[in-house]
Amino acid sequence: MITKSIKQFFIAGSVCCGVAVALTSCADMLETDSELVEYEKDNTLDHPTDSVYSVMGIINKMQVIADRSVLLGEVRGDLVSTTEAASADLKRLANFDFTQDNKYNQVSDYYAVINNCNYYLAHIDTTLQRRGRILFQREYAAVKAFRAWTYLELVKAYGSVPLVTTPMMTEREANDALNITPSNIKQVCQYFIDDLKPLVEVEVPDFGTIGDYKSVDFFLPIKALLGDLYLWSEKYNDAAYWYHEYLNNQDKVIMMEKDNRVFWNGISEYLNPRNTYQADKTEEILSYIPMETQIFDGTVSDLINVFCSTKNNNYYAQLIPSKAIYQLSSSQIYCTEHKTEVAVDTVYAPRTGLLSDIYLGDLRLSAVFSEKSVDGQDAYSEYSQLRHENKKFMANSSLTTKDRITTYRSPMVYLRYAEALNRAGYPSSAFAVLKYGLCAEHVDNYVDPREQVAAGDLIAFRSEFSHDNTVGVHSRGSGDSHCNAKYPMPMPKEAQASYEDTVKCQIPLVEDLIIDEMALEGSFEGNRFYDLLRVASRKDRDASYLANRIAQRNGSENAALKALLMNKDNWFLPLPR
Amino acid sequence: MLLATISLAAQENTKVVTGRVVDAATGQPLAGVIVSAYGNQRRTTMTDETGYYELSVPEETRSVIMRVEGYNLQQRAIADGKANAQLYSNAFSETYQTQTTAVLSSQAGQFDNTSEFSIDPLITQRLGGDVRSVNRSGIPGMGNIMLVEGINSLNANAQPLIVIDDVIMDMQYSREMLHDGYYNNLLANINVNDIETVTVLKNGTAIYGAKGANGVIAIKTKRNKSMATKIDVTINGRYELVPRLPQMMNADSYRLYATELLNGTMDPNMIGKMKFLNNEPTYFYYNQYHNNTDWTDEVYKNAFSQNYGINVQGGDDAASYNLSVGYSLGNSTLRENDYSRFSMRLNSDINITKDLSVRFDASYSDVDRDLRDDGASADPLGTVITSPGFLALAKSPFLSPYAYDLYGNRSHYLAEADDYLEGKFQGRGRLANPVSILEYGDGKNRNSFGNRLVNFAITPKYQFNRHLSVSEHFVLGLVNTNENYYLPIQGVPTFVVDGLSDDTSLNNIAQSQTARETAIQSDTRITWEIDPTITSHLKVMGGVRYLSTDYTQTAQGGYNSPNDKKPNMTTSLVFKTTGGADDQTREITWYALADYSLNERYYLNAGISAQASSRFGADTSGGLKLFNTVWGFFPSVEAAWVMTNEKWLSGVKGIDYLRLNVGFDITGNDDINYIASRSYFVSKRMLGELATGKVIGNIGNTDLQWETTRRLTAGLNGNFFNNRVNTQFNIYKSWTSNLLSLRQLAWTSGLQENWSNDGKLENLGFDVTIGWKVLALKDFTWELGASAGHYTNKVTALPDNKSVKTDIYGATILTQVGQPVGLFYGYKTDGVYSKTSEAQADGYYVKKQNGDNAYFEAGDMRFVDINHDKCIDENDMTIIGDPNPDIYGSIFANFTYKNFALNAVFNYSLGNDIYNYQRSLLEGGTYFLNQTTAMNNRWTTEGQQTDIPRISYLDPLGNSRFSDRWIEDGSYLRLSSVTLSYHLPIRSTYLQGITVWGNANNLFTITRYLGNNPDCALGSNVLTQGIDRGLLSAGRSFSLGVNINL
Repeated sequence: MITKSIKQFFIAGSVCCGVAVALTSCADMLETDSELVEYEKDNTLDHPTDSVYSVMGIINKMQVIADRSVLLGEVRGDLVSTTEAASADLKRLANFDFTQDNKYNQVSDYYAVINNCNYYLAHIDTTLQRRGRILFQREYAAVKAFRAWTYLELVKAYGSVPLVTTPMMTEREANDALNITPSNIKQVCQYFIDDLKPLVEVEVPDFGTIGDYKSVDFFLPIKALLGDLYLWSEKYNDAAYWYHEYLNNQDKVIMMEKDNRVFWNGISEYLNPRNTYQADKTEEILSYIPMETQIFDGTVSDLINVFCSTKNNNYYAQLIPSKAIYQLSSSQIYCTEHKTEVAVDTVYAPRTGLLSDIYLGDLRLSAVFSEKSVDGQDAYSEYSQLRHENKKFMANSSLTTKDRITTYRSPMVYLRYAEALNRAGYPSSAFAVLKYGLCAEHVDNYVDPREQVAAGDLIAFRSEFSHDNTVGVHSRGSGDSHCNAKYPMPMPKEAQASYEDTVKCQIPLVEDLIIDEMALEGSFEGNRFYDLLRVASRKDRDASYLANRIAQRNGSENAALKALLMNKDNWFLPLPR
Repeated sequence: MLLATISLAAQENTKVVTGRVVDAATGQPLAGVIVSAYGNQRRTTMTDETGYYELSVPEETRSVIMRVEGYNLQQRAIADGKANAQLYSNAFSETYQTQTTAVLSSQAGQFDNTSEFSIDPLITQRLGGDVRSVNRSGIPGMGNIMLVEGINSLNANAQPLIVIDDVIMDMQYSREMLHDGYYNNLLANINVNDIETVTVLKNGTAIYGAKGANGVIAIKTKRNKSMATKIDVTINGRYELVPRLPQMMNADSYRLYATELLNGTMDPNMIGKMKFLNNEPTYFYYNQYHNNTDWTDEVYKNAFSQNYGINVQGGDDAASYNLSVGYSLGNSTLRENDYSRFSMRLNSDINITKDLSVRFDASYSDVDRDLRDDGASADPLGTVITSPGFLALAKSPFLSPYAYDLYGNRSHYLAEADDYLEGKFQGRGRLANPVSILEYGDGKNRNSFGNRLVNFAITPKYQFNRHLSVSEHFVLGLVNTNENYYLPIQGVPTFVVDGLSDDTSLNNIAQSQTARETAIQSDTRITWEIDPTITSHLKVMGGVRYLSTDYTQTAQGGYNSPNDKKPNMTTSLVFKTTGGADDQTREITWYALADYSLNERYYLNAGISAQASSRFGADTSGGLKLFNTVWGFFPSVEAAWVMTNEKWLSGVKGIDYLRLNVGFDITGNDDINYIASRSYFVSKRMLGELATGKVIGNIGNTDLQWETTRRLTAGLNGNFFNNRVNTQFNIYKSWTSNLLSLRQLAWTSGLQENWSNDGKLENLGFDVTIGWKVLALKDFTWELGASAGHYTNKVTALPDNKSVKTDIYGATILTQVGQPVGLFYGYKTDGVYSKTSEAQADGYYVKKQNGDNAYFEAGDMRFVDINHDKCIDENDMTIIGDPNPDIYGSIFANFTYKNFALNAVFNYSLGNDIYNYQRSLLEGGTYFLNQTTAMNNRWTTEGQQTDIPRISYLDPLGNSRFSDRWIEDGSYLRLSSVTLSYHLPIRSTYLQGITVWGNANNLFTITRYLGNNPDCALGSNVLTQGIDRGLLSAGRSFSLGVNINL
């Protein structure tokens, strides 16, 4: 009896089990979860914490390309030279010899930012509202700006790249993306102009203060970024418009800091310049990528070990200022406005007998760079006898790694604004940015009246800008340039028939001054190669604009390098095949 | 009905078999031998006092089987109605089995009279030709790496599946331990005395689905077999001697070496002022730097180990059980690496009703260990050297383990870390006081390891009728592991580690980790079997297995705990890290197996399984998509032909038994990264740990699948010359495809690489075992045997067919199409330049980092410039060694005299190369590490003829680079074990018998290998085989034990 019931129980049990197994979807039985990682299906991005973590995740990936945004723009330019001690990767970059294993030629790091942005943008719910405010609007705009900035960095370096704007979450999707026809700089810029324009008025997110960082500074100024996109698109009016919008038409206007400069104190003693010049003055840093301070925590900027003598590199710096920037710097004419009780005089700094060649001309190079030799190194020492220091890569002027890499700095925005104005047909306004700075009074005094009319709002500045707080960028290193007679608005060699013709002649000449100023002000910050590339790509210029300068970076022409650079294909890193 | 008719028909036609059974030793007739038709227990008779028997068997019967207490089982073919036999004493190894299957396997049992802590060394000894086995380390119970039928994977696990009492074990092969050089061998949790048999399955593994590609080792533990209650008590002890160690320089030689190494690195005037070079006995520091310490005396010691066990068997019709309890204490010859184990196992069989039975097994074991790092470190300057064993070799002999006081007297306080090199050598490269690491690292929460293994298995089985039964095998397995690591402050220099900037100095390390694995296994099976008849027999079973494994691990670590009294994880630690694993696997396997035999001559075994696993990608093309998931199919077909049961061979003299097996299997390896097929996000701590970022961590390879191995096997098993000689010869050829490898992802993904299936490899090999009953006398038997295994292995395809170079411990391992796996790829040498003129004549150079040339000089190695460009660089690298052996196996001899038994086992491996990494440091002449006495022959003067180059700090010319200097022939022949036992036959009510035994292990090894032990391994990864980093090797050991049967 017992046997029978057990038998029945077993049969019933077996049947039930069988049916249960057959009916339950096997896929469910195989379902696993993890507490260490978050599967795609669980990352729904519908919670503020999720959104914040994801935005920080994008910054985490931007940290990886931060150093490179500087090095790719600088090493290939003409303002730095590689030393003997430079790594092979840097030397190859400087010689435009690009190999796939070069650590600075890792295109996938850019797509890591892009893909994380793409995922965020595809999944964030921008319709969620709380207390009448769209919940993720600010983050949404900020991520779009990150993506646009990264694509611009990418396409500047590689020339043309696959423009992927949807997330690639399987190997198959990533492989498909490889086959997309690459977009060139203009195409990329146009896409992101359209992408960003509706978001210009959205404020940047604020995650509060994180340690020493103010999180609002992590986010890119969309208007300035739009200016860049237009500038690279060669739409100069629009570019000037957005730069101007950014500088002038905000709650808080952005001025040229008058006191941020390096100068000779007085007119009799030319021993050591007074230096209040800081390339990383907080007020001028508009946005930056926060970096880690310990390798333990993640990506630490290595730029200090590239540009300075540190213990880590046995005091052998890898990149030092080139002969070309010494020449450019020394070719500037330093001028002081000397006011006495009786008269105002203009005094020019001596061009001989200075303590160091670095003090000749513009003083900004001397303000950021120094070279000295040290004693006590015997023949058995593994340390360099020279100490190179580049303040642009030192935190608080001490030999510590900087915890941020600047993405936007106000003098550079001013200079690009000038570049846009000039190409838009307003060279005297553009020149005024260099020599005087723009405010209502200076516009009236120094900008050609015809140009004032034509440019209109593009050069209109609010009343906060005045003669007292506005200076030209050139003044930051070359003294009081507003009274510098040796720094005049360039004129055509021969008189032109019409005003228009004169302007046409002036534009490239003013542009040369702007590009020089960009080098003096923005040296070592990763601008130079791209500035040359942008100008050399213009219709009225040719490859020699870039090739000549770079081939001469060490003082004499490197013919092989020049020949290489006369071919525009060599300006860009090759995409992996 | 039909089956019943067949059965009846078989019974109708019978024939009579007659024969005579005698003792092979004496030729005397044997009475009382049970003779039955093979495979049919119902036809049974017994021999009479003349040894004669007469048995009526079904017409088709081709052989009979004979068995009697004290003798080996024997199967005899019937020739012309007759089957005579000579039975051998059971002192000889068994060569016949009561059942024949088509599956090829090798089995070993009776693991008595041993003091081993885990079964792995015994598998090596007993199944040496079937399993290629390499010792992990001499630390008790660290066990062996085992490979069956070649090497069937590159990056995934290549070791066989271990199945213990039908429970599929996750051996945690790839889990990382905190202690360097340590491996958590789960087999060390199983008491050797509990093990009945170990079977190596070589084919027919369809039931294991995507787990069987590396072969299967099935372990069965003891179950009760008789109704009488039996109690066995085991006690033994073992004394192990310190193993062979390199001969290091004494104090004076090392002082000379260190001075020479300083030359050229600092101002010669300063060298003379260094404290350790002041030889004036009145000098204040003289005593401190003028010792002659043999550091190995401080770190290695002879060790005594013990095993205690009791095993109780008994039961009745309703229930029977086997209960065992054991305790082992294993001391290591490397101090502070001791082991203890408590184990308990209950195996019970319960008959609830006539038709319903339940098997219930429960086991628990708890292993506790002291541990320290072991082995030469990968980069002596990378971070602090923490292994006391290596420090004992490398530490300067002129220093003392104990500090000197103000008066220059030796105190009992331990000395601090090295400080004899002042100035720029003060940073990286200072050596710790190994005694301090041993003393101050000692304690429960310092350097300890614990491992608990718990298994419950319940297997109800219901027999519906004679043919049909259903069973459920439900298993719950738990593995808990905890480990603490502590590197003390005392006696250890401040140090730096990778990932932290060079100016952070660290004082100590505290780490801990705990892991828990929960495995649930359910196997529901229906078995259908026709009545065993002579003509044909069919057994079919099918079922479904569900396997769920959850492994969670958490690990923490940090530096700079306040002092050595506080080794725990605290918030005050700096650079704290946390890590962990949360690995889950779910698997469903449907399977069906059929076993068929016809006329005792033809056997067929066929099976198929379909496995779905959470580790497989959702779009895997190698499988079939059904029920919304992908299934991999794994069929196997095996056939056997017992040729001696054919009439034409049954009477042939000299051939007693001959069986041919062939088989074909498709199996898989599912050791796939748990989550590589999925897209997921990971968290990153950012901005000094104040923020968290979430980023894409992986984009899934939805095509990810198992590695597939197709294997063709054939075997010939025979007994010849009156069963005096037994041979087994198996051959196999296998093709593995879909090798798991890390492949570069499309750069548009923003990620570097992911796992994918690409690449193929092949194995061709054989194993052969021969046993010879040399002497079978009344009181004396002598059996001699040998086994040999051989495989050749060849990579046949790789992703894009690009060769892969893997750097590890200074070696470059080459994986290249057309070559075996694990090749050593480095520089060839051609002696040492004795004179400047020789070096100049060659004009060879190396490129320095800044692009300048550095030319080789007198005293430097002469490397072979393969591409004739005079520049010695990676283009001159070539294959310099192959870690795969040509042949490996064992040789054994068993003697018995009355109640004495003497067994000896030799193990050997021939033709395998070893990269002696430890020697490359101890004879590299590159760092301030003590060197072997061989370095006294280093080149020092112009014109000196020697094969050891000059020394130079950091070796700018790379004389000590990875070259054939460090590749050695790892062939060896070792007397692994000699056991002498005496069985005291007592027939009393309380005492059944006593066996006293003595055993010696590793008595001698014949080898040209210069390292500690040619039987050594770096890890279980197939690419790192044959790399010797000087982990503790097994020393000679002597055991004495007694087994008491109550």
